[in-house]
Amino acid sequence: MNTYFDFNRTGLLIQRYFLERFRSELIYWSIMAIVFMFIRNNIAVIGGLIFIAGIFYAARFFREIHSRTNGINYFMIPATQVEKLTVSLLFTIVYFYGMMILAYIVGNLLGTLFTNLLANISFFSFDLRLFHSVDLKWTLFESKQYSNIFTGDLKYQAPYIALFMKYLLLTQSIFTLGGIYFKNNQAFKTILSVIVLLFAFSIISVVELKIFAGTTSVNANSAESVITMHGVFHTIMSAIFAYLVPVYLWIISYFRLTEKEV
Amino acid sequence: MEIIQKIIQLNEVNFSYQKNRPLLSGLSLQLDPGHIYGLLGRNGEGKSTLLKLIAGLVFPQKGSIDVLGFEARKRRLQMLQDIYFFPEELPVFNLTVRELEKIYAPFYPQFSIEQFNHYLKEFDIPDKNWNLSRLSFGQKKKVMIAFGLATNTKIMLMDEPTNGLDIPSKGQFRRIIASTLEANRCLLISTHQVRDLDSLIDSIIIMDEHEIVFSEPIDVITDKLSFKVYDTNEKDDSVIYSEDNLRGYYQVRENRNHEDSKLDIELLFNAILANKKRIKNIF
Repeated sequence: MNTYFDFNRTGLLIQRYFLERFRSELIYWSIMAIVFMFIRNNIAVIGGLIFIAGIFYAARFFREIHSRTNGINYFMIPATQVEKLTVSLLFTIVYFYGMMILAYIVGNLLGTLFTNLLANISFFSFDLRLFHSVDLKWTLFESKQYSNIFTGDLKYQAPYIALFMKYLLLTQSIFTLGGIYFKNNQAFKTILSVIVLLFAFSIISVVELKIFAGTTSVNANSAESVITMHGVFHTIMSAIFAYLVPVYLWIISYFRLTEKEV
Repeated sequence: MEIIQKIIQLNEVNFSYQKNRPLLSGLSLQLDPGHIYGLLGRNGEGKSTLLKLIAGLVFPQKGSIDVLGFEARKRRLQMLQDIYFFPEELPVFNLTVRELEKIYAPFYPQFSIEQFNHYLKEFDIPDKNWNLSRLSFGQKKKVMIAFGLATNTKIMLMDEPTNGLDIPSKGQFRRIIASTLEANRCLLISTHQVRDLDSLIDSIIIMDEHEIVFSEPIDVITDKLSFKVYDTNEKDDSVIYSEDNLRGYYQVRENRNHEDSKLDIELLFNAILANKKRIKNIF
């Protein structure tokens, strides 16, 4: 018997989640699909929705461990903390992301279908058409296109869907920790903590600016004042934030889960 | 089959939910397999907390808790596979009895489906397709008791298991529990309903003022104390505690002549609270 990680026990934990929350999952993802029917082409709104929905999904997922009765049941299940945390991460990141894409596909297809159906309907006795026919577009799977101002070459970023995954990994890790750490209003308290943390970082930046540059004011209109990272340093910092910070937060989440009392 | 001695061991445990308000202080206790322990105490004495400490659901501020050779607070897999905690308030499950079995039973290596079916039948739960969320509190409790017993864990912690059970169910509960006790199993039952369990419990633990003031097996208790009804309230120096009711005077006395008497747990409890020092000296 493996006393650290076992796929059978992990599978059982996944099954347990699905069976116990089947109805609420169905409702949650149906609502998402309906929302996508209306916002299927605006990438900024789609992105915002994915992140906000992710925050609340993580908070909802960990509500169980803070409940006195259900928390006892959760912690008494004979599975290791690693297995329990793995299942949490699978649900709040992988499953959530997969279901979001599915909800988008379903919402996009239904939204386009209904819009085109309505476009063929004449309202009242005269030929009043409130809807116009639209083409099926897959905005989430498209890439952002931009041109190099010096060479004029067209370049493409990774598709939005891949970019979102990268940032979702970080945000969901933050909210996984928040979900485990805070007892009530996890989403709100985590957002508040992140804001306070960012504020603290910005103060540190100002202090650094004062120490090293001798000033605390930066002229935003001046091209020289724009501080950007280049080359290897930029790649390293991006990788740290995209991949190492989430892993670090998972480790903290593990210890927090291990030390959680009911 | 290997029988572990000292299945649960608590050493000098201190616990409090709030600073400066200790709930348990310097608590030491040893529980052995093959016994059904009754944990008694007034409200707020920390009985449920003691069960939670043993289950590793809350952690002591001082002292150590060893369960089946593991530190309780670590909630190791091997410990969780051999401990079943039955809380007073049941979790909310939106599952059928069959789904409960399908999902939770595989986590327990010793789980017996035959036993589960048998206990369900004993408790008059005929249909495994019943949804737990739609059952009454008592019925839900019976399903969970049946499940807990079928896990065949070495330790069973039960917090007020008979609360909410109707009169026939209490009898069924006693019968089933008595049939499940094995040499390597230990049951710790916290209860206020002493009359429900007096024929079941074989050792009594009493908590008062945040500590364990009494912990003895019933045969030792009845060997050293006698529990009888007297017509008159004669108080010689063997009388430890006396209370009157319609039938006469119920007295707890030192059993100097080694007479047989049936233990009255309620009377013992009151006697201990009223005369702690003297009883301590007798034992």
